[in-house]
Amino acid sequence: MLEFYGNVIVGGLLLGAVYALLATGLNVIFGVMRMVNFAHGEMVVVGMYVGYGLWAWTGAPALVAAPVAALLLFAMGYLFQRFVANRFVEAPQHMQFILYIAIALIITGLHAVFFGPDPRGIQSAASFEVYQLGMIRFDAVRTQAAVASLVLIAALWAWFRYSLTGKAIEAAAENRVGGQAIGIRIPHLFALTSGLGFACAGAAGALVAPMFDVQPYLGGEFTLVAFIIVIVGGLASLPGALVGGLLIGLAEALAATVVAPSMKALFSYGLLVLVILLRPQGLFGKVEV
Amino acid sequence: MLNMRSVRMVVLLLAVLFAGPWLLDDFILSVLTLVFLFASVGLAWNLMMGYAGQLSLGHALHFGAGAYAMGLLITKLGVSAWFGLPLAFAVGALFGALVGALGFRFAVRGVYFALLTIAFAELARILVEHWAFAGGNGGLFLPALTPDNRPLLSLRGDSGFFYHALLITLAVIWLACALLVRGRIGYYWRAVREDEDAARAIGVPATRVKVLAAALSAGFTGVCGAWYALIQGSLFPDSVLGMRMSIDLIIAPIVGGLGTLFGPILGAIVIQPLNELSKDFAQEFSISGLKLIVYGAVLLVIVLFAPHGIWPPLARWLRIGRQK
Amino acid sequence: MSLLEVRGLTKVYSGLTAVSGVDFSVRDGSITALIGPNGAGKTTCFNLIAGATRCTAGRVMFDAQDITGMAPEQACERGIARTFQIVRPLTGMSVLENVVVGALLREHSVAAAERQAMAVLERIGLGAKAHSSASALALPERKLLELAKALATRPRLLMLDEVMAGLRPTEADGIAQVLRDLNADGLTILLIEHVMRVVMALAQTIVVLHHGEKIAEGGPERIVNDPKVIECYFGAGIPATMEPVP
Repeated sequence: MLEFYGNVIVGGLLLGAVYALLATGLNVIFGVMRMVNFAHGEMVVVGMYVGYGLWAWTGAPALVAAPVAALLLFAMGYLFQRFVANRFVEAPQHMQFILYIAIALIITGLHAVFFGPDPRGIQSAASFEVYQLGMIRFDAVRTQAAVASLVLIAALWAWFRYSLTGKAIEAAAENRVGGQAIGIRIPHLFALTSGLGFACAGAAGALVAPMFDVQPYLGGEFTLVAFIIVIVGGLASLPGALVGGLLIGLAEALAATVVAPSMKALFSYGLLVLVILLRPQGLFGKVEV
Repeated sequence: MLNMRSVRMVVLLLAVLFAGPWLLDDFILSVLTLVFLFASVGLAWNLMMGYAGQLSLGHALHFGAGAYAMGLLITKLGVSAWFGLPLAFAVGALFGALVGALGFRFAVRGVYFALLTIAFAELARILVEHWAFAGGNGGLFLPALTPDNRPLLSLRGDSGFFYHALLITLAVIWLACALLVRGRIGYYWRAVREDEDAARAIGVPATRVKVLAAALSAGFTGVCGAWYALIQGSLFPDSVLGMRMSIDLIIAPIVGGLGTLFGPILGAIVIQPLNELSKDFAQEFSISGLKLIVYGAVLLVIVLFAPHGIWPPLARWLRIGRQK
Repeated sequence: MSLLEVRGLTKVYSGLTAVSGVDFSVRDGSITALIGPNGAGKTTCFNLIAGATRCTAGRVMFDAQDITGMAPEQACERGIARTFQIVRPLTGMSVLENVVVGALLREHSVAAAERQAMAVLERIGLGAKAHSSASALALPERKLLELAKALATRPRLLMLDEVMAGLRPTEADGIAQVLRDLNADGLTILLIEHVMRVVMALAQTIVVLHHGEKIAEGGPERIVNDPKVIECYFGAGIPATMEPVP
């Protein structure tokens, strides 16, 4: 019994780490730039297809596909922000929503057209590898994905904290006019931010590809999970995204086992409602005055 | 917007449209029926977004609630469908008022409010999926129509019947919205949308007024959901309460134009046929996902080049309404 | 008798005390001015009285009824109308429509509210602009619109927050005259002002705030010569004379 639940919990936490990477990406876009990126989940799916495609073509494992996906999505995010989304930074939120929903629809549609609606799974020997530690079995794929995610999150964290550009981005997000006045190149910085956010999503997607069958319509779920984590954890809070991701991953795993697989989202949405109503700044966020 | 010219145009249009079933074939009738349906929901959603300024991305909750209310009433209680319409309105309005009251009471605005509405819709969907009484995931099926079916009793008939029914529904909802917007509540809604705190300082009971917008918007949406149930003959939680439906419901009013009374109708006229066309094209060449690309592209074009929708420039061109 | 009475009014933001233990009253039918240097807490007082902000402590009595903690729309319904320091017209609507929103508080039909709104606009001289968009007005007219919106709610107490700011002397005098006329008809007015000419000309009572506390209350002559007041505006040791507009 203990062993069973132990494995469920570990599995959930490992997935949670990848969720945390996904949420960190959204945090960067929504938390820092305040852009309502409702296409975040679709970017994950792009990453998943990159992961699947690379595997199908060259047999490359997820750890190799992740940087490729990250680069591709970084470019997409940068270009999109620079040439389209930057106009919407000051726009009313519902307009931003529509913009991103439009992108999400187009990307989902393109996936369906090019890859077909059927799920594609990665079946490889690696899928069945397991690390054993006492009575707990660590699924190799999940463990690698979790470790990679944590590394990426830490790297991003450090970059924002210690690099000049990272600090400039935070400054620019807090005070756009002030930032421009002292020479920060806002359009470029925001594009960079968007690129980083998308890159996180893409990497998470590639890491997750061996775990779930990829199909075009997964985007919506990922987007909502990302928003739930970001809000529960706290906007623009990197520890919040980490804790939130682990929490949601754990909760979903337990809910799926204890109640029913299809009910796992019930907890997440319920938590979202409670947080929005009672503690909108989330666990680690700052109260907006 | 209710000057004599508008009224004359509308009455003329209605008369022409009413003759539809005797002039058009079944397929076009069914497309137009969906146009009327989505135009009606668009007008309803517009009350929330365009007038009270609150973004709801979970309107499928009210649509599905109305649909299931009607569905359950007919299948489980064997009651005449006529009772389903006010019931659907009431159920929808109740949910709308609840979500609205919760949101406004806790001062939830913008994205957060939108996410709250999504969460409620998704919660409803998941719960209904596990509700055996309503058929769960397997769906709820209305009893098959018998040869001696009387459309005016069962509210289900051929395409001509539904065409008229939805045309009347659209006209009623449009009229209701027009009267509301021109009246006292319309002024209050616009004031709240412009500047809620300034409005409250001159006596506008902002929260009450926003909850009313939410309730009315949801109630009308519920009625449309009920009609959807009658037309489709079957209900599935995933299609009627899902995020996809929430997005489908709002595309027409956004494309057509928020905050206007003709925008949502124009939007539905543009979107629904596009929908049908892309579905046909996709089936012809077995490409799935085409509809999504088309929707996305249309939305993108609108948000980039005509963010207030197609109606305002069209209205200016036709010289209708006040010059803003 | 006092129409408005505030006792022990206090507002503390985390760490910062904006208003502390302020007591004053506004006599029915009078024009009272609330003055003090920037940051003295005058607008905060307005917000506390009108319900836009919750009091940390203290009571607000209006017409002998305790209205502490009432929402702004409720305070307005009781008869308190306030304007904002930075005017807030409803820009998507016309001037007339702006005022109709206020008039709808007391009138039942839109038609009656429109008539009432038009009357208010004529009274204060904005009648000609009734159908212009609110966003098309110049600053003095926006101030008048702000005033009209408040007046349309048929208040017993009109609270004006720096209505003269940014106006030229002739424009300010124009509004001052309108206020005098309204007061003559029985409207009680409480105004926050920096333009001392206007304060001396209009106010029968002046309340002075400094660092969130009341430091003086009384008639214009007394206030002008009160050493505490002079000190808070000009620093110690500098005499000042402030002469009213003839």
